[in-house]
Amino acid sequence: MNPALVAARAIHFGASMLVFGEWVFVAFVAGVAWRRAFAASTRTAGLDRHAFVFATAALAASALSGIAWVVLEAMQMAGVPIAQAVANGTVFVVLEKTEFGHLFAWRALLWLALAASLVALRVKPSSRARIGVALLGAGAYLATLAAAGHAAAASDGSVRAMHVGADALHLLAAGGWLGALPPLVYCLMHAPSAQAAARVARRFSVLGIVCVAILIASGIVNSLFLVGSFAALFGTAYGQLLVVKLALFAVMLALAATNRLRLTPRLAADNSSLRSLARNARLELAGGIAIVAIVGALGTMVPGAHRSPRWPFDYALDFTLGDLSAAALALLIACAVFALAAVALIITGMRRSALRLSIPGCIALVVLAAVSTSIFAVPAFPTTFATSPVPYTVDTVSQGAASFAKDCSGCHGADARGDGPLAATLPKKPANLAEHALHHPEGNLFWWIAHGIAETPMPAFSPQIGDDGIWKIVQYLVARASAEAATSIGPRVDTASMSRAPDFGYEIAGEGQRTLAGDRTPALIVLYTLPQSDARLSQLASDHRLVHGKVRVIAIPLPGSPPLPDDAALRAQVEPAIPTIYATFVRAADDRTALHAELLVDANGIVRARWLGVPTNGVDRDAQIVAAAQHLPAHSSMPASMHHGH
Amino acid sequence: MKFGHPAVALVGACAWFASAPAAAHAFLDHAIPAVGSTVHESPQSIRLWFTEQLEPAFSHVQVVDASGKEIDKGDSHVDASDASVLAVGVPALAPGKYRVQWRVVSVDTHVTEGDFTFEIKP
Repeated sequence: MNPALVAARAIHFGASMLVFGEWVFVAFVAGVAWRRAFAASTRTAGLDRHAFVFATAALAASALSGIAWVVLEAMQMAGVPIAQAVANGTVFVVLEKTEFGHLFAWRALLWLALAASLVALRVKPSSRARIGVALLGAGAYLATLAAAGHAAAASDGSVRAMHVGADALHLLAAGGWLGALPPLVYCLMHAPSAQAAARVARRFSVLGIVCVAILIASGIVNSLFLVGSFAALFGTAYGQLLVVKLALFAVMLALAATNRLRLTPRLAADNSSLRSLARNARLELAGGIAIVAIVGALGTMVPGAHRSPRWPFDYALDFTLGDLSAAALALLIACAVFALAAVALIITGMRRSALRLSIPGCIALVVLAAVSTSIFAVPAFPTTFATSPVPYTVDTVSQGAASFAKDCSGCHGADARGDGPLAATLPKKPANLAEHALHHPEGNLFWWIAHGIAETPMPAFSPQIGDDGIWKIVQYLVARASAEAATSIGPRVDTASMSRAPDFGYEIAGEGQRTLAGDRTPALIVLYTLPQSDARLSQLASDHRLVHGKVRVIAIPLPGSPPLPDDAALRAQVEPAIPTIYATFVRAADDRTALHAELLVDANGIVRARWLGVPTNGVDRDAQIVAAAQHLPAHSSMPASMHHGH
Repeated sequence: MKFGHPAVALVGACAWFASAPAAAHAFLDHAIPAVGSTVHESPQSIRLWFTEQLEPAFSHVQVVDASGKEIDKGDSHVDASDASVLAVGVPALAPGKYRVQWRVVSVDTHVTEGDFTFEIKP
């Protein structure tokens, strides 16, 4: 993280918000309440001067920080020191050729327009039209910052529009609230009467409620995109910083609620409330500055959704109802009944406009929520939600298979079914991993192999086997269990299939290398044995319906079969590990490997349909394949692979 | 241990979204030749697919041989029709190990870099 860049971003965000908030306050809060209170008095001039000075200073700060941001960004993009970035004209390349540069060039023009509108407003401060223009300009200046952030990078157009839109609303709402705090404090401190202060405070709290509602809604949308899971929220640096930001936001909300519910109603009667209100507004502003500093940092970090999280708690929540015991279910139902009673209590308390009944109701609701949540708690480890740094390929699976044969098969058995030669000597039967591996998070499998399982004979294999080596064993177990799951897949598309086909590369003469996963299209993997498969293969090669159905045919010889001749249409060159691994996916229920089999794999690498044996009528089977291919799920973007430096 | 039937739902339960759309930093999604793979014929170009769109002015890839000498055609470029693809041409390569080194800037300004190898074995 570059601290100068974080500071430049934070100042730029904060200054842009101040400019906007100042005019929001003048237009929506003071415009009515304040001017009416002092028609034709010099005090409105005081607010106008305050707004002008504040907005001008903020605009100047945003210009300087904006320039610093562009220069620092140019340094970072080109990977050169600052002197070089300036001397080489890197800054101009950024402005001319990058989306970020184009955005800032446009924002520079907006800045000029905004500056002009401020001057115009200074000449005639009470002109509604001029306030409107300044407000619009400041809003555009602030909202366009959304396009400079993570949101702008989504590759899908509609996702980008939604994310940038939510981000722009978030900025405007934050600016409307935080930026309006300085003029609020000014008005409270210079109010000629308690009634005038009360009127301003009431109008401000309406603004505050609108802004907070927008902030929460747009914030949820943004964090769904950038964090996406509780694992990433609590288990990545980005997520944890977001938690700090949310905690600050909660404190600010509490202050705002105190202002609205306790202090504002008393304003007219009691002078100390006015001072408390002004103090709370200053505290809110301080919280806002801390939040903007965090925003400065968040934008430079890898969002939680793209990092492998490290779970910090001993438990996680598993909401699968089917696993609950009868006692747990009974407890859950009891909780629900009591919760209804607690809600009734709260509502009754509200009706009598006395909090006496609501408070125990709220406490009961919190306790019930905690109890019912604890029912779903399951043990978790730091790696429970981790994504494997090792890709799921035939290569890593075969390396994992070799380690498994050496270190694990003694107890777990050659096929990972828990029936190794040593299994009978153990006090507890080893797990049948071929059946169970897919029903546990991969991160838990990793943890159990690395650190063993307490109170069972399962030993720890870390550090004798390195982390990557353990992940390869995990990938082997996923492949082993996927092969086992494939046994029950037939010619009809299995929508619930968990059987994952390991990725691999293959070469077709003249077409170069392709990979199973890289194409993001469905594939028919044909595992053949010559000469039995001869007729089927030549029929496949000539059937164009498959091509039109967008199904790639990848022909792979089973172990023991010669490959197709070099001039055959379906001839693909593959590494020897591919037949060995894929042979385990074409076993019949009696565990015998078929001599010919066809696997329909969807664009996400899931085995969806399976045919064993050579068809008696190949045309019929092709029709089945094309029909099945129509019902496959489309490609969905999977979590990014984690092989990168930063 | 009470992990029941699809206990993988553990992950599901803790996820608000099944899979968030890729955004924010350009990570390598896949490449041709594939990362760490062995190919029988020399490719004509090396193509890298990233998880988001790239800034052409600041995104580069080069290919070096086992001795570290750059052997690509020096025409590293972002694909005109798909801004998330980075490619570089290579001459007919002799059998051996090659390393692909990339450094890219995503459209939201973030820098990522990395490398991988592939082998040509006739």
